[in-house]
Amino acid sequence: MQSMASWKIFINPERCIGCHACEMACEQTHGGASNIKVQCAPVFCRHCEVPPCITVCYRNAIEMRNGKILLIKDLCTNCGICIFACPFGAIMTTTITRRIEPKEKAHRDVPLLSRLFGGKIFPKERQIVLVHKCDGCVERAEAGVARPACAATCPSGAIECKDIAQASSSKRIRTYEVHLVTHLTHREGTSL
Amino acid sequence: MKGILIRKDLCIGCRACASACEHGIIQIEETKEFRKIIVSGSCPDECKNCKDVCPTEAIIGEKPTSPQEVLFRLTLCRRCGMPTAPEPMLNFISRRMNQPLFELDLCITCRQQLMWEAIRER
Repeated sequence: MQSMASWKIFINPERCIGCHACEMACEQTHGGASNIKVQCAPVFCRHCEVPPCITVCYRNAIEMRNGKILLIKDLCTNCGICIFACPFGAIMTTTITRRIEPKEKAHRDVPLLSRLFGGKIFPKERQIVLVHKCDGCVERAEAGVARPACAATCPSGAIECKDIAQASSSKRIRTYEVHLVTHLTHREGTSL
Repeated sequence: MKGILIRKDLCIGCRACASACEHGIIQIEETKEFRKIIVSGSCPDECKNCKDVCPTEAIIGEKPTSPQEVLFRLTLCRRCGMPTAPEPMLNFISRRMNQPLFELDLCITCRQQLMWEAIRER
């Protein structure tokens, strides 16, 4: 079994056939919310070395563990600030609807006028925009599966999972190392 | 009975309070141009969820408050013209990241596309 830190995910945009299989695989692994979006080629967290999302998060809900950037759900407030801090648009959102449990105490305290418009004051359901991002399939790694779901599913080899020793040689054949880009590539043209 | 008063000068228009509010008293309505934060009265419970999560401590108030709305115009993406985020929110990010604001006014789709375009050009 490969350990967490020894591999990295590589994307070959030319090989992507746009089948969205990686999105499906990610959805299944992460309980219905895909952390991948196929936009020309698969887009997901690049696990930057200097991550803007960590800098911007005011709750310290994003942290780096073994080179993987993880969003801690208990601390996250779903504010959406990190979404716009990420230069790659790699932090995803899903809108879910949750039922509001009416509390007896809550209703008792409200003046009569408000209670008449009860439906409006106490809506039956509320919508939450959940923020989620790629976690490098930590749970799969802990369960002993070597590769993340997207790399295991990709039929055309656009998403590959290689260990670091192989990575240096594959750079020459235009495989893009996911890990090194930390800035807006389209603006500054930084090295890959 | 606790009031919810949003200070319009401090609020950046993120979604933190709306997703923290378990009673659905703070809700967000989003149209093509605007994001509206709607507070439909006082909080019936003694919870302080919205106060705790607010990044700028914009939520104040001890006494019961009347319904209110905070309206934000959404910044348009400089590439495709689609709405992105409220300007105060982008200002907040640019302050925290020490990055000029013009780098941030791209929508998510454009960021994703530009990443691959930049890589293909190389």
